[in-house]
Amino acid sequence: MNETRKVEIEEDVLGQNQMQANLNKEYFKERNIKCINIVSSPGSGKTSLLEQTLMKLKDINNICVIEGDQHTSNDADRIKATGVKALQINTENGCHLDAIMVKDAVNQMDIPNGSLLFIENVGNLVCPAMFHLGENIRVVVISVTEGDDKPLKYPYMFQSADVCIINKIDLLPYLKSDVSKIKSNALEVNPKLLFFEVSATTGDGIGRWLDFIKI
Amino acid sequence: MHELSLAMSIADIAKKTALKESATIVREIEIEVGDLAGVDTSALSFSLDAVIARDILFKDCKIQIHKLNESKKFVVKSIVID
Repeated sequence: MNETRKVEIEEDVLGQNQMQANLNKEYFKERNIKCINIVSSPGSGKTSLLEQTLMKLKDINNICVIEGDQHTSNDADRIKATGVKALQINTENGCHLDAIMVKDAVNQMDIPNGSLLFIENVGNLVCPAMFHLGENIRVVVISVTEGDDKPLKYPYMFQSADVCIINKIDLLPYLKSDVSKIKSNALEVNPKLLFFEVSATTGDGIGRWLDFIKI
Repeated sequence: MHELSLAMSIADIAKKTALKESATIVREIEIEVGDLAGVDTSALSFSLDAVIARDILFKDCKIQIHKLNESKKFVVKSIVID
């Protein structure tokens, strides 16, 4: 019979994910792969933004895409239709991608050196914030239909991002939305955010984003 | 509900330590959660109950969650084992 005893651990709960994220980051660095993790709530236009981006960049850069959704391969099918290599991860009951899922996807994909790798995370403005994937750049997308105070309501995601893309600006004439308010609210939680105002549907504002992201 | 995957990580950490210590049962898991860690403690508690119920190693295991102010800390602090 063992005696009852207390064992001190002090281990970070996210430590295992962070360790794999660091390995992913190293893998990308060794191969000159630029990895972009795209996060947002569902319906803000991540996939449309990617389609628009891929159509304009696929002849300039090698590009691969990892798609995360609970179910279906709809998004990967949309990406493949642009002629770009894509792999769908279905998280089933999971609400976010993690670094181990990304490692497994990368192992299956055979990504050429010097590629751009886009990861479209599960549409969710809460959970993916905590899980680093090893990305170089984290992009949060917000559409102008979502409410100007969204960055204040969901601060963790905006705090953890490097770039904020404000999408659907073609709809501004029909809405009460104020882009300067979205920006000031986002800057309140993260003063370092870099902004791009785009319409993934019409292509407005996409040029500046492409110049920023291309290799 | 990312708390479910967090609960699974906590159980993994506790189990790994328990096995290293050649324990036969884990009686208690102590966790510290900062208010800025982005974790909902009631969802975490609910998820942990569901996760540990699947493993005999955690039979009747108590979960202690300590909340910390103005902290991003989120750790498994200790376990009590036999």
